[in-house]
Amino acid sequence: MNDRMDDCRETLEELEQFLDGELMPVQREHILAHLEKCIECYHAFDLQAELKQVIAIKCANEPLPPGLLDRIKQSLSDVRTEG
Amino acid sequence: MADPATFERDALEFAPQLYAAALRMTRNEADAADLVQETYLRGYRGYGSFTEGTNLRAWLFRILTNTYINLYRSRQRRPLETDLADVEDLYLYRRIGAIESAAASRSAEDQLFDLIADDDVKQALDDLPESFRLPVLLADVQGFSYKEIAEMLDIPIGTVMSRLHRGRKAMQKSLYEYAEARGFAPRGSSAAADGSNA
Repeated sequence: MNDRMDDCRETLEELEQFLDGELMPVQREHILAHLEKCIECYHAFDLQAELKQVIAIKCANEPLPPGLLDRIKQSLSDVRTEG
Repeated sequence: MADPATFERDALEFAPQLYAAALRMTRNEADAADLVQETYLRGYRGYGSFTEGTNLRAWLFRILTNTYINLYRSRQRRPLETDLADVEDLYLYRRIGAIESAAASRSAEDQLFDLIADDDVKQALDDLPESFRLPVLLADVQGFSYKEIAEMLDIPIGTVMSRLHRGRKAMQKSLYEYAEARGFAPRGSSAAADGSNA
Protein backbone atom coordinates (compact mmCIF):
# COMPACT_ATOMS: atom_id res chain seq x y z
CA MET A 1 0.00 0.00 0.00
CA ASN A 2 2.82 2.38 0.81
CA ASP A 3 4.46 1.59 -2.51
CA ARG A 4 1.19 2.27 -4.22
CA MET A 5 0.82 5.62 -2.49
CA ASP A 6 4.38 6.62 -3.33
CA ASP A 7 3.65 5.68 -6.89
CA CYS A 8 0.49 7.84 -6.86
CA ARG A 9 2.34 10.77 -5.38
CA GLU A 10 5.09 10.55 -7.98
CA THR A 11 2.58 10.13 -10.75
CA LEU A 12 0.53 13.13 -9.69
CA GLU A 13 3.65 15.23 -9.36
CA GLU A 14 4.37 14.59 -13.00
CA LEU A 15 0.79 15.06 -14.13
CA GLU A 16 1.28 18.45 -15.71
CA GLN A 17 4.56 17.61 -17.40
CA PHE A 18 2.92 14.51 -18.81
CA LEU A 19 -0.07 16.42 -20.20
CA ASP A 20 2.18 19.18 -21.49
CA GLY A 21 4.14 16.60 -23.46
CA GLU A 22 7.33 17.38 -21.59
CA LEU A 23 8.32 13.93 -20.33
CA MET A 24 10.80 11.53 -21.86
CA PRO A 25 9.33 8.35 -23.36
CA VAL A 26 10.58 6.22 -20.46
CA GLN A 27 8.88 8.53 -17.92
CA ARG A 28 5.67 8.47 -19.95
CA GLU A 29 5.73 4.68 -19.99
CA HIS A 30 6.07 4.62 -16.23
CA ILE A 31 3.08 6.91 -15.81
CA LEU A 32 0.95 5.06 -18.32
CA ALA A 33 1.70 1.80 -16.51
CA HIS A 34 0.56 3.36 -13.24
CA LEU A 35 -2.61 4.82 -14.79
CA GLU A 36 -3.57 1.41 -16.07
CA LYS A 37 -3.75 0.02 -12.58
CA CYS A 38 -4.87 3.09 -10.63
CA ILE A 39 -8.32 4.41 -11.44
CA GLU A 40 -7.97 7.36 -9.02
CA CYS A 41 -4.93 8.74 -10.78
CA TYR A 42 -6.46 7.91 -14.14
CA HIS A 43 -9.48 10.09 -13.32
CA ALA A 44 -7.26 12.91 -12.10
CA PHE A 45 -5.26 12.81 -15.33
CA ASP A 46 -8.37 12.53 -17.44
CA LEU A 47 -9.97 15.55 -15.81
CA GLN A 48 -6.85 17.69 -16.10
CA ALA A 49 -6.46 16.72 -19.74
CA GLU A 50 -10.04 17.69 -20.39
CA LEU A 51 -9.62 20.97 -18.55
CA LYS A 52 -6.54 21.84 -20.58
CA GLN A 53 -8.56 21.21 -23.70
CA VAL A 54 -11.51 23.27 -22.44
CA ILE A 55 -9.20 26.21 -21.77
CA ALA A 56 -7.59 25.90 -25.19
CA ILE A 57 -10.86 25.65 -27.09
CA LYS A 58 -12.67 28.39 -25.21
CA CYS A 59 -9.85 30.91 -25.42
CA ALA A 60 -8.45 30.16 -28.86
CA ASN A 61 -11.13 31.68 -31.03
CA GLU A 62 -11.68 35.38 -30.98
CA PRO A 63 -13.11 37.03 -34.05
CA LEU A 64 -10.56 39.37 -35.62
CA PRO A 65 -11.77 42.97 -35.43
CA PRO A 66 -13.07 44.03 -38.84
CA GLY A 67 -10.41 45.88 -40.76
CA LEU A 68 -7.47 44.71 -38.65
CA LEU A 69 -5.94 42.62 -41.43
CA ASP A 70 -6.23 45.52 -43.87
CA ARG A 71 -4.71 47.84 -41.29
CA ILE A 72 -1.75 45.50 -40.90
CA LYS A 73 -1.27 45.13 -44.65
CA GLN A 74 -1.47 48.89 -45.06
CA SER A 75 1.12 49.53 -42.34
CA LEU A 76 3.47 46.95 -43.86
CA SER A 77 3.09 48.56 -47.24
CA ASP A 78 3.77 51.99 -45.70
CA VAL A 79 7.01 50.66 -44.24
CA ARG A 80 7.97 49.23 -47.63
CA THR A 81 7.45 52.50 -49.44
CA GLU A 82 9.40 54.36 -46.76
CA GLY A 83 12.25 52.07 -47.79
CA MET B 1 18.03 34.61 -44.15
CA ALA B 2 14.36 35.27 -44.74
CA ASP B 3 13.17 37.40 -47.62
CA PRO B 4 10.97 40.33 -46.50
CA ALA B 5 8.86 39.91 -49.63
CA THR B 6 7.51 36.63 -48.29
CA PHE B 7 6.78 37.96 -44.81
CA GLU B 8 3.23 39.06 -45.46
CA ARG B 9 2.35 35.87 -47.30
CA ASP B 10 3.76 33.61 -44.60
CA ALA B 11 3.04 35.53 -41.42
CA LEU B 12 -0.50 36.87 -41.85
CA GLU B 13 -2.13 33.49 -41.41
CA PHE B 14 -1.17 33.65 -37.73
CA ALA B 15 -3.08 36.88 -37.12
CA PRO B 16 -6.14 35.20 -35.55
CA GLN B 17 -3.98 33.28 -33.04
CA LEU B 18 -1.90 36.33 -32.26
CA TYR B 19 -5.02 38.42 -31.75
CA ALA B 20 -6.63 35.83 -29.46
CA ALA B 21 -3.47 35.79 -27.34
CA ALA B 22 -3.14 39.59 -27.44
CA LEU B 23 -6.67 39.91 -26.14
CA ARG B 24 -5.87 37.76 -23.10
CA MET B 25 -2.68 39.75 -22.54
CA THR B 26 -4.11 43.26 -22.81
CA ARG B 27 -7.66 42.39 -21.79
CA ASN B 28 -9.14 44.90 -24.16
CA GLU B 29 -9.86 44.84 -27.88
CA ALA B 30 -8.33 48.15 -28.92
CA ASP B 31 -4.99 47.44 -27.24
CA ALA B 32 -5.02 43.88 -28.57
CA ALA B 33 -5.48 45.09 -32.15
CA ASP B 34 -2.69 47.67 -31.72
CA LEU B 35 -0.44 45.03 -30.18
CA VAL B 36 -0.94 42.66 -33.12
CA GLN B 37 -0.29 45.42 -35.64
CA GLU B 38 2.89 46.45 -33.80
CA THR B 39 3.96 42.80 -33.70
CA TYR B 40 3.69 42.57 -37.49
CA LEU B 41 5.60 45.79 -37.97
CA ARG B 42 8.43 44.60 -35.74
CA GLY B 43 8.31 41.19 -37.36
CA TYR B 44 8.62 42.73 -40.81
CA ARG B 45 11.53 44.91 -39.78
CA GLY B 46 13.29 42.03 -38.06
CA TYR B 47 12.44 39.38 -40.63
CA GLY B 48 16.00 39.32 -41.90
CA SER B 49 17.03 37.72 -38.61
CA PHE B 50 14.43 34.97 -38.89
CA THR B 51 15.92 31.69 -40.04
CA GLU B 52 13.76 30.28 -42.77
CA GLY B 53 12.53 26.79 -42.07
CA THR B 54 12.38 27.36 -38.30
CA ASN B 55 9.15 27.95 -36.43
CA LEU B 56 7.63 31.21 -37.71
CA ARG B 57 4.69 30.95 -35.36
CA ALA B 58 6.92 30.71 -32.27
CA TRP B 59 9.03 33.57 -33.61
CA LEU B 60 5.97 35.79 -34.02
CA PHE B 61 4.69 34.89 -30.56
CA ARG B 62 8.04 35.80 -29.12
CA ILE B 63 7.75 39.24 -30.71
CA LEU B 64 4.16 39.54 -29.50
CA THR B 65 5.15 38.68 -25.94
CA ASN B 66 8.14 41.03 -25.92
CA THR B 67 6.11 43.84 -27.42
CA TYR B 68 3.39 43.36 -24.84
CA ILE B 69 5.87 43.32 -21.97
CA ASN B 70 7.77 46.37 -23.25
CA LEU B 71 4.94 48.55 -24.48
CA TYR B 72 1.69 47.66 -22.86
CA ARG B 73 2.43 46.34 -19.46
CA SER B 74 3.59 49.66 -18.12
CA ARG B 75 0.39 51.28 -19.33
CA GLN B 76 -1.89 48.97 -17.50
CA ARG B 77 -0.94 50.21 -14.08
CA ARG B 78 -1.63 46.99 -12.34
CA PRO B 79 0.69 45.70 -9.69
CA LEU B 80 3.40 43.83 -11.50
CA GLU B 81 4.10 40.97 -9.21
CA THR B 82 0.84 40.17 -7.54
CA ASP B 83 1.03 36.75 -6.03
CA LEU B 84 -1.52 33.98 -5.89
CA ALA B 85 -3.00 32.32 -2.87
CA ASP B 86 -2.02 28.70 -2.53
CA VAL B 87 -4.62 26.30 -3.80
CA GLU B 88 -4.58 22.65 -2.91
CA ASP B 89 -3.48 20.26 -5.63
CA LEU B 90 -6.34 18.45 -7.32
CA TYR B 91 -8.76 21.13 -6.12
CA LEU B 92 -11.08 20.82 -9.07
CA TYR B 93 -10.69 17.08 -9.28
CA ARG B 94 -11.89 16.54 -5.76
CA ARG B 95 -14.88 18.77 -6.29
CA ILE B 96 -15.81 17.49 -9.71
CA GLY B 97 -15.68 14.05 -8.17
CA ALA B 98 -18.65 15.10 -6.07
CA ILE B 99 -20.55 16.15 -9.17
CA GLU B 100 -19.74 12.90 -10.85
CA SER B 101 -21.05 10.81 -8.02
CA ALA B 102 -24.18 12.96 -7.86
CA ALA B 103 -24.88 12.47 -11.55
CA ALA B 104 -23.60 9.00 -12.15
CA SER B 105 -24.98 8.72 -15.66
CA ARG B 106 -22.57 11.26 -17.12
CA SER B 107 -18.83 11.44 -17.01
CA ALA B 108 -17.20 14.27 -15.13
CA GLU B 109 -15.60 15.45 -18.33
CA ASP B 110 -18.85 15.84 -20.23
CA GLN B 111 -20.16 17.89 -17.37
CA LEU B 112 -17.02 19.92 -17.13
CA PHE B 113 -17.32 21.10 -20.67
CA ASP B 114 -20.95 22.09 -20.27
CA LEU B 115 -20.73 23.65 -16.88
CA ILE B 116 -17.87 25.95 -17.74
CA ALA B 117 -19.05 28.90 -19.82
CA ASP B 118 -16.69 30.37 -22.44
CA ASP B 119 -16.70 33.73 -20.72
CA ASP B 120 -15.87 32.11 -17.38
CA VAL B 121 -12.73 30.55 -18.81
CA LYS B 122 -11.64 33.87 -20.29
CA GLN B 123 -12.44 35.65 -17.04
CA ALA B 124 -10.54 33.11 -14.95
CA LEU B 125 -7.52 33.53 -17.21
CA ASP B 126 -7.82 37.33 -17.32
CA ASP B 127 -7.96 37.41 -13.51
CA LEU B 128 -4.58 35.72 -13.12
CA PRO B 129 -1.71 38.05 -12.28
CA GLU B 130 0.36 38.61 -15.40
CA SER B 131 3.35 36.51 -14.38
CA PHE B 132 1.01 33.51 -14.18
CA ARG B 133 -1.37 34.49 -16.98
CA LEU B 134 1.27 34.57 -19.70
CA PRO B 135 2.67 31.08 -19.06
CA VAL B 136 -0.83 29.55 -18.87
CA LEU B 137 -1.88 31.35 -22.04
CA LEU B 138 1.23 30.28 -23.94
CA ALA B 139 1.10 26.67 -22.73
CA ASP B 140 -2.58 25.81 -22.56
CA VAL B 141 -4.09 28.01 -25.25
CA GLN B 142 -1.17 28.22 -27.69
CA GLY B 143 0.50 24.90 -26.94
CA PHE B 144 4.09 26.10 -26.66
CA SER B 145 6.73 23.99 -24.90
CA TYR B 146 8.30 24.93 -21.58
CA LYS B 147 11.50 25.77 -23.42
CA GLU B 148 9.75 28.05 -25.91
CA ILE B 149 7.87 29.79 -23.09
CA ALA B 150 11.06 30.19 -21.06
CA GLU B 151 12.66 31.90 -24.07
CA MET B 152 9.65 34.12 -24.75
CA LEU B 153 9.40 35.29 -21.16
CA ASP B 154 13.13 35.18 -20.46
CA ILE B 155 12.72 33.12 -17.30
CA PRO B 156 14.16 29.70 -16.35
CA ILE B 157 12.22 26.56 -17.28
CA GLY B 158 11.73 25.72 -13.60
CA THR B 159 10.01 29.07 -13.13
CA VAL B 160 7.77 28.38 -16.13
CA MET B 161 6.75 25.10 -14.51
CA SER B 162 6.03 26.52 -11.08
CA ARG B 163 4.07 29.45 -12.51
CA LEU B 164 2.06 27.12 -14.71
CA HIS B 165 1.31 24.92 -11.75
CA ARG B 166 0.16 27.72 -9.50
CA GLY B 167 -1.64 29.59 -12.27
CA ARG B 168 -3.59 26.51 -13.26
CA LYS B 169 -4.60 25.76 -9.69
CA ALA B 170 -5.85 29.31 -9.23
CA MET B 171 -7.77 29.10 -12.50
CA GLN B 172 -9.35 25.83 -11.52
CA LYS B 173 -10.49 27.32 -8.25
CA SER B 174 -12.09 30.27 -10.06
CA LEU B 175 -13.75 27.98 -12.58
CA TYR B 176 -15.21 25.86 -9.84
CA GLU B 177 -16.48 28.91 -8.04
CA TYR B 178 -18.08 30.31 -11.20
CA ALA B 179 -19.73 26.97 -11.88
CA GLU B 180 -20.95 26.87 -8.32
CA ALA B 181 -22.34 30.39 -8.57
CA ARG B 182 -24.25 29.32 -11.67
CA GLY B 183 -25.80 26.56 -9.66
CA PHE B 184 -24.12 23.63 -11.32
CA ALA B 185 -22.06 22.30 -8.49
CA PRO B 186 -23.64 20.13 -5.85
CA ARG B 187 -24.20 20.99 -2.25
CA GLY B 188 -25.02 17.63 -0.80
CA SER B 189 -26.44 15.15 -3.24
CA SER B 190 -28.20 17.00 -6.05
CA ALA B 191 -26.18 18.42 -8.89
CA ALA B 192 -27.46 21.22 -11.09
CA ALA B 193 -30.98 21.06 -9.68
CA ASP B 194 -30.42 23.57 -6.94
CA GLY B 195 -29.68 26.97 -8.41
CA SER B 196 -29.93 28.79 -5.14
CA ASN B 197 -26.49 28.16 -3.74
CA ALA B 198 -24.14 31.06 -3.80
